[in-house]
Amino acid sequence: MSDTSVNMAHGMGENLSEPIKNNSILQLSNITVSFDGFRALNDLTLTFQVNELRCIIGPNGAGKTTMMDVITGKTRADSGTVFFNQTIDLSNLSEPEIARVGIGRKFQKPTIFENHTVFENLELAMKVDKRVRHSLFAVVDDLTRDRISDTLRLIHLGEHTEQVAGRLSHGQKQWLEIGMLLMQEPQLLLLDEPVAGMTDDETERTGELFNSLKGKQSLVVVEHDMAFVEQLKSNVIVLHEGSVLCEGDLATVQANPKVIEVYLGR
Amino acid sequence: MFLKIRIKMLSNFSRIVFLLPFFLIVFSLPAYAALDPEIVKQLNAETNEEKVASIKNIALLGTPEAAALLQAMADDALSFSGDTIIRMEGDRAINVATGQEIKPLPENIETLVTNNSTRRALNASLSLLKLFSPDREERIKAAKALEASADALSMPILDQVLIKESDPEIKQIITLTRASIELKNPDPAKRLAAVKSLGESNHPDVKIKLTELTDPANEPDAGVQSAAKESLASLENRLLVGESISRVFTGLSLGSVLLLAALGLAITYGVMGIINMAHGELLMVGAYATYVMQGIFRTHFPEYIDWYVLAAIPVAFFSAGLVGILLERTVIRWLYGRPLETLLTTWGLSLILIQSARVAFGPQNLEVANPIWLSGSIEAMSNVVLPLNRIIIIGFAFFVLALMWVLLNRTRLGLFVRAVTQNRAMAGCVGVPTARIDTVAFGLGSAIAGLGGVALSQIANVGPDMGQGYIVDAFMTVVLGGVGQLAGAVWAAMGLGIVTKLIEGVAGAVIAKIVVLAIIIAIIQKRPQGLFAIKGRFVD
Repeated sequence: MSDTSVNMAHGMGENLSEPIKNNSILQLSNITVSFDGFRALNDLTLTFQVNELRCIIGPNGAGKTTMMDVITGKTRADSGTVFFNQTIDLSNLSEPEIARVGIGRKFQKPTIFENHTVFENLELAMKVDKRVRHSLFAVVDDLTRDRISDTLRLIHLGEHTEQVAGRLSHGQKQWLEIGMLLMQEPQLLLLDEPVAGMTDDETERTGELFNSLKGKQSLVVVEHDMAFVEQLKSNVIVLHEGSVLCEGDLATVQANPKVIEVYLGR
Repeated sequence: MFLKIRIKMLSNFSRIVFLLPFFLIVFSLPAYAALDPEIVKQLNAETNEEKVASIKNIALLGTPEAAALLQAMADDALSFSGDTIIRMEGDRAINVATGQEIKPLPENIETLVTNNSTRRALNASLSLLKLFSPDREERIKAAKALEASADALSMPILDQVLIKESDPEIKQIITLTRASIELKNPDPAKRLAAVKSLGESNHPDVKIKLTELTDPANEPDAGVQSAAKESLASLENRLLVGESISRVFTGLSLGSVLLLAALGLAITYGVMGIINMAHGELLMVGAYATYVMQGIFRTHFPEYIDWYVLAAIPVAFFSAGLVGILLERTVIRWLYGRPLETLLTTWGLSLILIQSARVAFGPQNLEVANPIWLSGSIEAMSNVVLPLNRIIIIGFAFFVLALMWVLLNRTRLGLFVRAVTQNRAMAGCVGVPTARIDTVAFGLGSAIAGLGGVALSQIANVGPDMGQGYIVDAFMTVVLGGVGQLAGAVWAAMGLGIVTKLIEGVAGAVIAKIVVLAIIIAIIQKRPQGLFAIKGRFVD
């Protein structure tokens, strides 16, 4: 099935503002969302590539979180389409269904199972057969153990395996949640302000973590912390009033007069 | 020769088993020690008094022959001809006094008839003679039976035992028994010695005897009186220890039943937040399953009847679990997040289950018998008797607890159940099938209630209403221990059980209930989340 025919089937073929690239993982087209007349997203069109790390910045109210909500199904778009993997129309799917097709989202506040150990949190999140009968006799085999310990190393929690998650520091909880998301093997990972509330040291290590995922995992990071964004050295999208203001690497974006005006001038 | 003849004549196997010890003694004797014919003759005396005196005199001999003779008389195996007491072996007549065969066969052989008073004397004498049994357990049993009932007539035998006996425990019992007989000795010095040595006793009956001696009306000697007071004090101390141990044990036993009822609730209430008023009826389902298994074993496998309880365990587990799953799937599932409706609905369900049991099994209490290995008791001290079924139920409760702990903490299913308990939405997000987990958890909680029913059937009445008495206490246990906490449930169940029984001992059952409820209210005021609460969905 070709891309065009899918799009034609949804009657959206003519409205595409740019042709779909074959390796796009997520395609937002002409998304508009209004809350009581306020346009949170205004004809937003964005494309994310497979295994790309993208940062999205923008002032408060620019529509960053609303965009995440639309992708994960928490908020429905008034108009426009969201295609995942070029063929799956996310606007028809419920929140859990979207999670199941492979989009993981990390919220601002760490959400982990506070009474479980770090290991158990990762085991819970792991992508396995979770049906009851299978789970009763499931054992933690070597493969599982290897995967969990790989992830533990990645998120710098190797020494806290048996620690109860509630006792971790804020930064460690954030890492644990990222680890849990990775265990679900999502095709696309959305991260909403992952370094908020972290110390400088923790922020830097989080940056290292993301850089190590570069090229292996499709990542979309929404962030205010410019030092962190700079560390990621990725393509940056600036949102303003619900649509894309400009796009490019951080230096280019920061030199853009429109961006300077949005951030400083008003 | 004598031996062979004797074995031949014994038709009854149990008699052989009983007499075997005496034969063993006979073996060690060089020759048959003849009994005094004058005494033996009196067994067929004119009056009952003479017969009883003769029986006692024979018993006082303390020899195996005496025991065998009295046993034969108790078994109605003796006859007489004139003045001679005879035992018939086929068509040969044996003179019991000499052990010789009487030739030619005497005429006019009549059966020696026993009546109630002679039989009583025979039984008492035979138990005295058991003090000489080669089996230590039997000797201890006989000694303990004598401890309360011995009179002055037994003294010579007791003295003989003290000489022969080597076991210190039996010696100790016999010494105390002798002392309590000596209390009636007219010589104050002997009474004083007896009173002093009785301070070592643990027997509740000795307490009564000593109390009598502290009264000047019964005991003229002041020295004996004060010694009696001293001995009484030390005896009462030890009895108190025993009583306390008994109470704590009964408390543990009550606690273990509460634990079995509360473990299931801890899951359903903890995971789903459902107040399941029908939980007590799931206990009932388990108990009826035990009753049904008993019936099946009685009709189909009577030779294995003692093991029906073991077979009932899985049957009760699965039948109660199935009823639970059925309830969850058809009714409770549609009421999630509406606690008041759930409470009323499950209460209605409990009534339906009770009435169904009435229709199916009738309204009366049913008889569920303890198998052999669950009846009887262990006597830990003279006033501490621990019934075997309660001991096994305490063990069973902890076995179920261990199973649940393994299931919840060592399997992935348990991991999911705990995850749903803690944060249902997030568990759903990571792909845990929460609706399925609900069903499984409810089924598991119900199944464990079914196991509780098996235990209850062994110590309480099995009837349609049996579950009602436990539901409130089980809820109190869960709330007190902290929702969704196994350790909390254990401490709360045992604590409630022991505190209830300790207060009952001092103030009676009604006051105990009131005090326990007041304590729980006070604790819940201070710690609404329960004693051992974790941070979770329902305690945020």
